[in-house]
Amino acid sequence: MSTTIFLQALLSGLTNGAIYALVAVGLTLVFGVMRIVNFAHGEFLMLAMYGGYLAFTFLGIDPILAVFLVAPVLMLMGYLLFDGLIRPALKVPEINQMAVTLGLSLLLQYLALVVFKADNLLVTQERSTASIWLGPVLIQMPQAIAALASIILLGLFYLTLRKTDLGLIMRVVSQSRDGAALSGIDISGTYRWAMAIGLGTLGIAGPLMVSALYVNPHVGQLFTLKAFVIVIVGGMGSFGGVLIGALLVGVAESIAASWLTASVAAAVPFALLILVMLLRPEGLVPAGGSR
Amino acid sequence: MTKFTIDRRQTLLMGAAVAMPAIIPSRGRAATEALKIGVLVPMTGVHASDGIRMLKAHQLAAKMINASGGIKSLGGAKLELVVTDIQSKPEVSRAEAERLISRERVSALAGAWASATTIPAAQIADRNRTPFMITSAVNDALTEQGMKYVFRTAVKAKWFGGYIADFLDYQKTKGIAVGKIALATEDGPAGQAVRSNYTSVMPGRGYPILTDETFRTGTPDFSTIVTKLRTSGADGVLTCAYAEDSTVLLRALAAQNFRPLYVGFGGAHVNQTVLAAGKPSDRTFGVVEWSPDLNKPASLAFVKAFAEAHPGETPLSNQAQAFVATYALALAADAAKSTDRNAIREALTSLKITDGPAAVLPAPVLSFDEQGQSPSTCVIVQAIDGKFVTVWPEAVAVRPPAPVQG
Repeated sequence: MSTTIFLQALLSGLTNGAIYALVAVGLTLVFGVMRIVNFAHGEFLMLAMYGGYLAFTFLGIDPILAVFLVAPVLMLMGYLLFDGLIRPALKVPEINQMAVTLGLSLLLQYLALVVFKADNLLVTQERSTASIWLGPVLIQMPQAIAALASIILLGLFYLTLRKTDLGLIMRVVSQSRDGAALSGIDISGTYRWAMAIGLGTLGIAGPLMVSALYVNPHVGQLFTLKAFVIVIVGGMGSFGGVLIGALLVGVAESIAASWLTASVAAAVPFALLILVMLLRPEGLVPAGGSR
Repeated sequence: MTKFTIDRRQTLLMGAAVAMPAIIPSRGRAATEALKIGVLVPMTGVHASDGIRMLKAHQLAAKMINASGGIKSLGGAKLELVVTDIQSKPEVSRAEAERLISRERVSALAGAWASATTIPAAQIADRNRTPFMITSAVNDALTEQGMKYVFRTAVKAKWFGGYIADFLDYQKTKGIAVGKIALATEDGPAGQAVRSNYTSVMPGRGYPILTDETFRTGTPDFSTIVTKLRTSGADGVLTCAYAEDSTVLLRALAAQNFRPLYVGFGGAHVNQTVLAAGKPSDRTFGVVEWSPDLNKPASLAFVKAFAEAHPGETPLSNQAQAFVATYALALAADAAKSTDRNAIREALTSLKITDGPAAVLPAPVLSFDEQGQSPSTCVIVQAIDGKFVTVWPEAVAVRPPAPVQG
């Protein structure tokens, strides 16, 4: 493998990793605060991608600006999802909660199939084929924008959790639900916000990702499994872990793909997952460490 | 001893049952009796949308045949399609083929979309001496294992590399030289079948393969693969990818200012999604079994009739094949002057369609060799100004290929 190809694989891996982090951060927030495994996470990403597509195609809104339209819609969805589906599900055993979110995931896919058909839809702009060259290697513009948004978002998350009252409350609830309730913290309200913000992050990811890729009813599935791997590798509910896990998965996958065949490379994130589970079952950056 | 006698009796009975149709004149010989053709299509399951599309083409052929006076040598007998849903499952395809042959007494069968659902049905038909016309399956073995009753209007999978080499040879005579090839294929069964075909054919035809990349469907970023293709020194890129991956790949090529001669594979490339990628897909080629703009009178008439029957719809290549498959069986029955299965089989082996409404496919002649395979060919289309246009072979091309650098 030549140096150019190695550097390109490394850079692509970091870019992909940052995009994966953008998808996984909401998942880890919901899990960290609520201990709910949301299997429908990828489907909300799919809806946000359709949102970005519709805003661009019918309103002529650039995907970067569409973020400000789609993110509030996704937040509202999270808000409604909590009261409509998750709050009742909190009373039932965890396995039933999983069944609820899994069912929701399938329901959303088929609803999308009915509404949007199975066709792939694209956002085509001037910058779809633009790129930033760094010496012999490059990042494509739409991917670069999504990666940059991911870094900004993770920074904001860090600040929110560290410096604001909401962040403090979320950290408290995630450490001990009962303790927080005894201290007079509104648990349901916190959960509702966690769900709204968790899905809201997808409102940022969706429009930016649809301009780099495409959207179809099943596109969310491409990312759900990877997002779970990242969350587990990084440490369930840990934000530092999401970034490290995502970059690790992105780079490992990319370097493996440039070295070996695609089929072998596709197994790499899962091999990594098993390795981490064996050696460090609490994840690379356990949630306690980053709080 | 008693048991033995019964066995013998049974054997006799069975023999009589087998011989009966031969002794007693077949009901099908009555002049007004319809010609029954069984149509195996998936109408539910994963291939449902494909099956429903195929059925429209079968039905259009039947409608056109009946509107023009039915099977003339049989006194204007109507063509009757006995349609069955194979549920996208090989075992259902097999059982339904059996049912159509034994219960519905069809004279011939046509179908059955994918290779996986076609193989069991074709085997059943062959065993029951019933002509089976393959509509769309490309598995090589179907017309290589000596099945006497199986016929195919479609191409064989292993011929694709040859078509591309022929096309590149043709480009050379026009002064557009492509010498070295890079491959990029998806890592599923379809992509890998195409890949092994290309790797076995292209070097022998004077097109060395410099790099051979695989990728997974849903890959979010093709930068590394495109860097490899670009730095390999190849000037031709052959791919097999699903439409969504093609768009990401084509944009990655454009982002690196790499404009090789690009040939995508089949209906997954010759697709609205790929055109929607805009400029990156412009001037790319696709190898496909048929194209609606094909410069052939019967083909244009088929597209027109299809649009009239289904407003707003343009038929796809497999629909043209299903249309031709139905027509070929009707023409064979006409030539045989019979609805008898063996007579139709005999007629198929000497059938030669060069014109008329069934001459829809790009090959100049539709006939079947001793293995039941037709000398099919593919066409090369090129994305020019937001449309796929047939550019090769010359005989059916709408226009010559445009230069790769748009």
